[in-house]
Amino acid sequence: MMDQQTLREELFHLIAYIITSARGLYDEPADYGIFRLLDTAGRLLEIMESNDLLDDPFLAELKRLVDEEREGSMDGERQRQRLDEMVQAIAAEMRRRL
Amino acid sequence: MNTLEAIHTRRSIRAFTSDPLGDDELHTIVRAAAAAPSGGNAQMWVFIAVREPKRLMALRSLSPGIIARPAAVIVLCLDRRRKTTPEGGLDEMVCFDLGAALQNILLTAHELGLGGCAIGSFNKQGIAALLNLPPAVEPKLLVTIGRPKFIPPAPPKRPLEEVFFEETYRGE
Repeated sequence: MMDQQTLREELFHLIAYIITSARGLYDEPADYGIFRLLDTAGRLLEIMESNDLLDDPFLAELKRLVDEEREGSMDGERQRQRLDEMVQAIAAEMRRRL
Repeated sequence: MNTLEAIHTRRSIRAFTSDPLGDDELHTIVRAAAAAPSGGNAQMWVFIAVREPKRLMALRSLSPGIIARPAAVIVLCLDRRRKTTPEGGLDEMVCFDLGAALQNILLTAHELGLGGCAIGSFNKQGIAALLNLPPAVEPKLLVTIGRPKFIPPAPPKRPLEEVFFEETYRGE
Protein backbone atom coordinates (compact mmCIF):
# COMPACT_ATOMS: atom_id res chain seq x y z
CA MET A 1 0.00 0.00 0.00
CA MET A 2 1.23 3.49 -0.87
CA ASP A 3 1.92 5.96 1.92
CA GLN A 4 -0.12 9.16 1.83
CA GLN A 5 2.70 11.22 0.35
CA THR A 6 3.15 8.78 -2.55
CA LEU A 7 -0.60 8.59 -3.11
CA ARG A 8 -0.76 12.40 -3.16
CA GLU A 9 2.06 12.45 -5.70
CA GLU A 10 0.36 9.84 -7.91
CA LEU A 11 -2.93 11.76 -7.81
CA PHE A 12 -1.14 15.03 -8.55
CA HIS A 13 0.35 13.47 -11.66
CA LEU A 14 -3.03 12.08 -12.68
CA ILE A 15 -4.58 15.54 -12.35
CA ALA A 16 -1.70 17.00 -14.38
CA TYR A 17 -2.34 14.35 -17.03
CA ILE A 18 -6.09 15.12 -17.20
CA ILE A 19 -5.56 18.88 -17.48
CA THR A 20 -2.78 18.46 -20.09
CA SER A 21 -5.05 16.10 -22.03
CA ALA A 22 -7.92 18.60 -21.93
CA ARG A 23 -5.64 21.30 -23.38
CA GLY A 24 -4.22 18.94 -25.98
CA LEU A 25 -7.64 17.96 -27.33
CA TYR A 26 -8.15 21.46 -28.76
CA ASP A 27 -5.46 20.60 -31.30
CA GLU A 28 -5.97 16.86 -31.72
CA PRO A 29 -8.42 14.66 -33.61
CA ALA A 30 -11.65 14.26 -31.66
CA ASP A 31 -11.30 10.47 -31.35
CA TYR A 32 -8.11 10.93 -29.33
CA GLY A 33 -10.51 11.80 -26.53
CA ILE A 34 -11.47 8.11 -26.42
CA PHE A 35 -7.87 7.14 -25.70
CA ARG A 36 -7.42 9.86 -23.12
CA LEU A 37 -10.50 8.72 -21.21
CA LEU A 38 -9.48 5.06 -21.44
CA ASP A 39 -6.00 5.98 -20.27
CA THR A 40 -7.43 7.99 -17.37
CA ALA A 41 -9.46 4.92 -16.34
CA GLY A 42 -6.30 2.80 -16.67
CA ARG A 43 -4.22 5.21 -14.58
CA LEU A 44 -6.91 5.30 -11.87
CA LEU A 45 -7.04 1.52 -11.82
CA GLU A 46 -3.22 1.48 -11.49
CA ILE A 47 -3.47 3.73 -8.45
CA MET A 48 -6.17 1.46 -6.99
CA GLU A 49 -3.91 -1.52 -7.58
CA SER A 50 -0.98 0.15 -5.80
CA ASN A 51 -3.31 0.73 -2.86
CA ASP A 52 -4.53 -2.86 -2.63
CA LEU A 53 -7.98 -1.84 -3.81
CA LEU A 54 -8.03 -4.17 -6.77
CA ASP A 55 -8.76 -7.40 -4.92
CA ASP A 56 -12.28 -7.16 -6.34
CA PRO A 57 -12.29 -9.69 -9.23
CA PHE A 58 -14.59 -7.56 -11.39
CA LEU A 59 -12.33 -4.50 -11.14
CA ALA A 60 -9.22 -6.63 -11.68
CA GLU A 61 -10.74 -8.00 -14.89
CA LEU A 62 -11.82 -4.49 -15.90
CA LYS A 63 -8.21 -3.32 -15.50
CA ARG A 64 -7.04 -6.14 -17.74
CA LEU A 65 -9.57 -5.14 -20.41
CA VAL A 66 -8.80 -1.43 -20.15
CA ASP A 67 -5.04 -2.13 -20.38
CA GLU A 68 -5.61 -4.30 -23.41
CA GLU A 69 -7.51 -1.48 -25.12
CA ARG A 70 -5.15 1.35 -24.28
CA GLU A 71 -2.00 -0.58 -25.05
CA GLY A 72 -3.08 -2.28 -28.26
CA SER A 73 -3.02 -1.05 -31.82
CA MET A 74 -5.43 1.66 -32.97
CA ASP A 75 -8.39 -0.04 -34.62
CA GLY A 76 -11.47 2.14 -34.20
CA GLU A 77 -14.23 -0.30 -35.15
CA ARG A 78 -12.93 -3.13 -32.99
CA GLN A 79 -12.44 -0.71 -30.11
CA ARG A 80 -16.02 0.58 -30.34
CA GLN A 81 -17.23 -3.02 -30.04
CA ARG A 82 -14.96 -3.73 -27.06
CA LEU A 83 -16.16 -0.57 -25.31
CA ASP A 84 -19.77 -1.61 -25.86
CA GLU A 85 -18.98 -4.97 -24.27
CA MET A 86 -17.24 -3.29 -21.34
CA VAL A 87 -20.15 -0.93 -20.68
CA GLN A 88 -22.59 -3.85 -20.78
CA ALA A 89 -20.45 -5.80 -18.32
CA ILE A 90 -20.20 -2.75 -16.03
CA ALA A 91 -23.98 -2.22 -16.14
CA ALA A 92 -24.61 -5.88 -15.32
CA GLU A 93 -22.15 -5.67 -12.42
CA MET A 94 -23.82 -2.50 -11.12
CA ARG A 95 -27.20 -4.23 -11.24
CA ARG A 96 -25.75 -7.21 -9.38
CA ARG A 97 -24.40 -4.89 -6.67
CA LEU A 98 -27.72 -3.09 -6.05
CA MET B 1 18.07 -9.10 -38.28
CA ASN B 2 18.50 -7.49 -41.69
CA THR B 3 17.15 -4.05 -42.52
CA LEU B 4 14.09 -5.21 -44.46
CA GLU B 5 13.14 -7.68 -41.76
CA ALA B 6 13.47 -4.94 -39.15
CA ILE B 7 11.30 -2.57 -41.20
CA HIS B 8 8.55 -5.11 -41.71
CA THR B 9 8.47 -6.64 -38.24
CA ARG B 10 8.70 -3.44 -36.19
CA ARG B 11 5.52 -2.58 -34.32
CA SER B 12 4.53 0.47 -32.31
CA ILE B 13 4.97 -0.72 -28.73
CA ARG B 14 2.77 0.97 -26.15
CA ALA B 15 3.10 -1.47 -23.23
CA PHE B 16 6.38 -2.22 -21.52
CA THR B 17 7.84 -4.50 -18.87
CA SER B 18 9.45 -2.85 -15.85
CA ASP B 19 12.98 -3.68 -17.10
CA PRO B 20 15.27 -0.64 -17.10
CA LEU B 21 17.08 0.58 -20.20
CA GLY B 22 20.85 0.07 -19.91
CA ASP B 23 23.45 2.71 -20.74
CA ASP B 24 24.82 0.64 -23.63
CA GLU B 25 21.37 0.20 -25.14
CA LEU B 26 20.57 3.89 -24.79
CA HIS B 27 23.86 4.97 -26.35
CA THR B 28 23.48 2.54 -29.25
CA ILE B 29 20.03 4.00 -29.94
CA VAL B 30 21.14 7.62 -29.68
CA ARG B 31 24.20 7.04 -31.88
CA ALA B 32 21.86 5.58 -34.52
CA ALA B 33 19.57 8.61 -34.21
CA ALA B 34 22.46 11.02 -34.71
CA ALA B 35 23.62 9.02 -37.77
CA ALA B 36 20.44 9.93 -39.68
CA PRO B 37 20.71 12.10 -42.80
CA SER B 38 19.82 15.77 -42.53
CA GLY B 39 19.26 18.52 -45.09
CA GLY B 40 22.53 20.37 -45.68
CA ASN B 41 23.96 18.17 -42.90
CA ALA B 42 22.52 20.77 -40.53
CA GLN B 43 21.90 18.22 -37.73
CA MET B 44 19.59 20.59 -35.95
CA TRP B 45 18.47 17.86 -33.59
CA VAL B 46 19.05 17.55 -29.88
CA PHE B 47 18.13 14.29 -28.16
CA ILE B 48 17.28 14.29 -24.46
CA ALA B 49 16.86 10.90 -22.80
CA VAL B 50 14.82 10.76 -19.61
CA ARG B 51 15.16 7.65 -17.45
CA GLU B 52 15.05 8.96 -13.88
CA PRO B 53 11.72 7.62 -12.47
CA LYS B 54 10.41 10.87 -10.97
CA ARG B 55 11.20 12.94 -14.04
CA LEU B 56 9.75 10.20 -16.22
CA MET B 57 6.55 10.28 -14.20
CA ALA B 58 6.29 14.05 -14.57
CA LEU B 59 7.03 13.84 -18.29
CA ARG B 60 4.33 11.19 -18.71
CA SER B 61 1.81 13.44 -16.96
CA LEU B 62 2.54 16.21 -19.46
CA SER B 63 2.42 13.84 -22.43
CA PRO B 64 -1.03 12.32 -22.88
CA GLY B 65 0.22 10.27 -25.82
CA ILE B 66 2.40 8.14 -23.51
CA ILE B 67 0.11 5.32 -22.47
CA ALA B 68 2.07 2.89 -20.31
CA ARG B 69 5.28 3.28 -18.32
CA PRO B 70 8.31 3.13 -20.61
CA ALA B 71 11.86 2.63 -19.33
CA ALA B 72 12.91 5.81 -21.09
CA VAL B 73 11.62 8.62 -23.23
CA ILE B 74 13.81 10.29 -25.82
CA VAL B 75 12.77 13.86 -26.52
CA LEU B 76 13.61 14.91 -30.08
CA CYS B 77 14.23 18.65 -30.17
CA LEU B 78 15.27 21.16 -32.79
CA ASP B 79 17.91 23.74 -31.99
CA ARG B 80 16.90 26.82 -33.98
CA ARG B 81 20.35 28.36 -33.56
CA ARG B 82 21.88 25.87 -35.98
CA LYS B 83 20.01 26.72 -39.18
CA THR B 84 17.13 28.97 -40.15
CA THR B 85 15.61 30.28 -43.35
CA PRO B 86 16.73 33.78 -44.41
CA GLU B 87 13.56 35.06 -42.67
CA GLY B 88 14.61 33.37 -39.46
CA GLY B 89 12.03 30.60 -39.71
CA LEU B 90 12.45 26.85 -39.72
CA ASP B 91 13.10 25.09 -43.00
CA GLU B 92 10.39 22.46 -43.50
CA MET B 93 13.15 19.96 -44.29
CA VAL B 94 14.18 19.73 -40.65
CA CYS B 95 10.98 17.85 -39.80
CA PHE B 96 11.94 15.17 -42.33
CA ASP B 97 15.39 15.04 -40.71
CA LEU B 98 13.77 14.36 -37.36
CA GLY B 99 11.61 11.71 -39.03
CA ALA B 100 14.73 9.96 -40.28
CA ALA B 101 16.25 10.09 -36.78
CA LEU B 102 12.98 8.74 -35.37
CA GLN B 103 12.99 5.76 -37.72
CA ASN B 104 16.63 5.02 -36.81
CA ILE B 105 15.65 5.06 -33.13
CA LEU B 106 12.70 2.71 -33.64
CA LEU B 107 14.58 0.26 -35.86
CA THR B 108 17.61 0.18 -33.56
CA ALA B 109 15.37 -0.42 -30.55
CA HIS B 110 13.70 -3.25 -32.44
CA GLU B 111 17.08 -4.76 -33.33
CA LEU B 112 18.00 -4.68 -29.61
CA GLY B 113 14.81 -6.50 -28.62
CA LEU B 114 13.28 -3.27 -27.36
CA GLY B 115 10.37 -1.30 -28.71
CA GLY B 116 8.81 2.11 -28.69
CA CYS B 117 6.35 4.49 -30.17
CA ALA B 118 6.52 8.02 -31.53
CA ILE B 119 4.48 10.40 -29.41
CA GLY B 120 3.16 13.65 -30.82
CA SER B 121 0.63 14.35 -28.08
CA PHE B 122 2.49 16.30 -25.43
CA ASN B 123 2.44 19.80 -24.06
CA LYS B 124 5.40 21.61 -25.60
CA GLN B 125 5.60 24.42 -23.08
CA GLY B 126 5.28 22.00 -20.19
CA ILE B 127 8.01 19.71 -21.52
CA ALA B 128 10.29 22.67 -22.28
CA ALA B 129 9.92 23.88 -18.69
CA LEU B 130 10.41 20.41 -17.20
CA LEU B 131 13.59 19.79 -19.20
CA ASN B 132 14.97 23.28 -18.76
CA LEU B 133 15.15 23.92 -22.52
CA PRO B 134 16.41 27.31 -23.67
CA PRO B 135 13.96 29.24 -25.91
CA ALA B 136 15.83 28.25 -29.11
CA VAL B 137 15.48 24.52 -28.41
CA GLU B 138 12.02 23.28 -29.26
CA PRO B 139 10.69 19.82 -28.38
CA LYS B 140 9.12 18.33 -31.52
CA LEU B 141 8.53 14.66 -30.81
CA LEU B 142 8.86 12.09 -28.04
CA VAL B 143 9.81 8.43 -28.43
CA THR B 144 9.07 5.92 -25.71
CA ILE B 145 11.54 3.05 -25.30
CA GLY B 146 11.35 -0.12 -23.27
CA ARG B 147 11.11 -3.87 -23.41
CA PRO B 148 7.78 -4.87 -25.01
CA LYS B 149 5.19 -6.43 -22.70
CA PHE B 150 3.75 -8.02 -25.81
CA ILE B 151 4.06 -7.59 -29.56
CA PRO B 152 0.80 -6.28 -31.02
CA PRO B 153 -0.43 -7.59 -34.36
CA ALA B 154 0.33 -5.56 -37.46
CA PRO B 155 -2.24 -2.76 -37.83
CA PRO B 156 -4.25 -2.64 -41.06
CA LYS B 157 -2.44 -0.82 -43.87
CA ARG B 158 -3.90 0.74 -46.99
CA PRO B 159 -3.43 -1.49 -50.02
CA LEU B 160 -0.38 -0.53 -52.04
CA GLU B 161 -2.57 0.21 -55.09
CA GLU B 162 -4.14 3.02 -53.09
CA VAL B 163 -0.88 4.74 -52.20
CA PHE B 164 1.55 3.89 -54.98
CA PHE B 165 1.43 4.73 -58.69
CA GLU B 166 4.00 4.39 -61.41
CA GLU B 167 4.74 7.35 -63.64
CA THR B 168 1.55 9.38 -63.07
CA TYR B 169 -1.14 9.67 -60.40
CA ARG B 170 -4.07 7.39 -61.16
CA GLY B 171 -6.16 7.68 -58.03
CA GLU B 172 -9.43 9.55 -57.61
